[in-house]
Amino acid sequence: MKYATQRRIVEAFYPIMGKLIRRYMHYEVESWFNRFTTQVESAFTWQFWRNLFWGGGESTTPQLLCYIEEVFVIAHGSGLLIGSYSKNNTADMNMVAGMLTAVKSFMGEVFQNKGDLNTIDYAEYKIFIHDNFKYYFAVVVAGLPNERFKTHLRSLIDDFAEQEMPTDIDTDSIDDTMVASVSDKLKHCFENNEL
Amino acid sequence: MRSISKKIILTGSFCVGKTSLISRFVYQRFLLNYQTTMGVRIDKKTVALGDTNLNMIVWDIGGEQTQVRIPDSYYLGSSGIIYVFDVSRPVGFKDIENDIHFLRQRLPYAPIIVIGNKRDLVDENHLDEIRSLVGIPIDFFTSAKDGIYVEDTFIKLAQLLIHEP
Repeated sequence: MKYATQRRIVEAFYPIMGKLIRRYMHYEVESWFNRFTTQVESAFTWQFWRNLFWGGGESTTPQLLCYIEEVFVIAHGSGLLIGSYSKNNTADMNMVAGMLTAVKSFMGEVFQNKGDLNTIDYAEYKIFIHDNFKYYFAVVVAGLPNERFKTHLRSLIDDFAEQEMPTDIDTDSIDDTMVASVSDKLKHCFENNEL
Repeated sequence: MRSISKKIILTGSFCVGKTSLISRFVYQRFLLNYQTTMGVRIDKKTVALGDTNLNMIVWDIGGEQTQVRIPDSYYLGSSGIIYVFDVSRPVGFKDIENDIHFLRQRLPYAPIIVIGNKRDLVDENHLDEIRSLVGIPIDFFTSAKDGIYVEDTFIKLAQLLIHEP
């Protein structure tokens, strides 16, 4: 009887505990990884010696344990999709774009537009939001992005916006030609770019 | 064939059947259990009109007593509006004119389709009386449950959005 009760309690709590433990582990690993990267970057690395004797060269910070799952370019306000790139094509991009915009708008209303929504955390994913004048980027990253990754990502997005995005975007101009063109460029940029 | 996307919003007081209308239009089914929409829900339906495929990105906005309480940002960038009221709830008729006026101020260039939903709950002979009580033109009396005039509502808006007669 006592054993059966214990088993029922374990069964009831197991999924909750599992989720909590996973979240805790994720948080701890992320914190550890950020500390580790900072230490490595400031320590006597091969890069340090190479720079000391020969100068220049690439950073030897270890490859990051994260990757880009999806990238969206979304019109402000309307939430219409201007372009997207996805590794897995898991959901309807138009609906995701709309929902992200609704969340973003709602947060803006709640906090009276005193700031911007920059990141959304969901399970092991982070969604980075980067605003431009008429549109914004939403980049879904799986894993453990550190500061260096975020800086590279921001710079990549800025370059993309400057070099690849059309300048004449308004609600009436977004058609399949524009979406296909921007999506192709996103694929080319994010598929071949090791952040 | 060109393809374009437009944001449309479906709005009106709570419990008038907005989500059921979308469910009928997009998924061809009627939801038996009522569930309040919290915030906003987004669906998509592609409509072929002439040489254009129109992706209707439908924002189903959670019902509020009046339109004034809905976050302004939800209206941004909307190309068209479907305003829904419940024909079986006369107490809500008095708000319709104010709501439409509010929507026209918010989105002066967006076409508005006004529909009275749940026509299956009232006598057919009663519809003319409702028309006179509401005081503004009503485009359709719909039934999400039976699928009456649901498709017509969205198609009419789609035609207005791509300026097709």
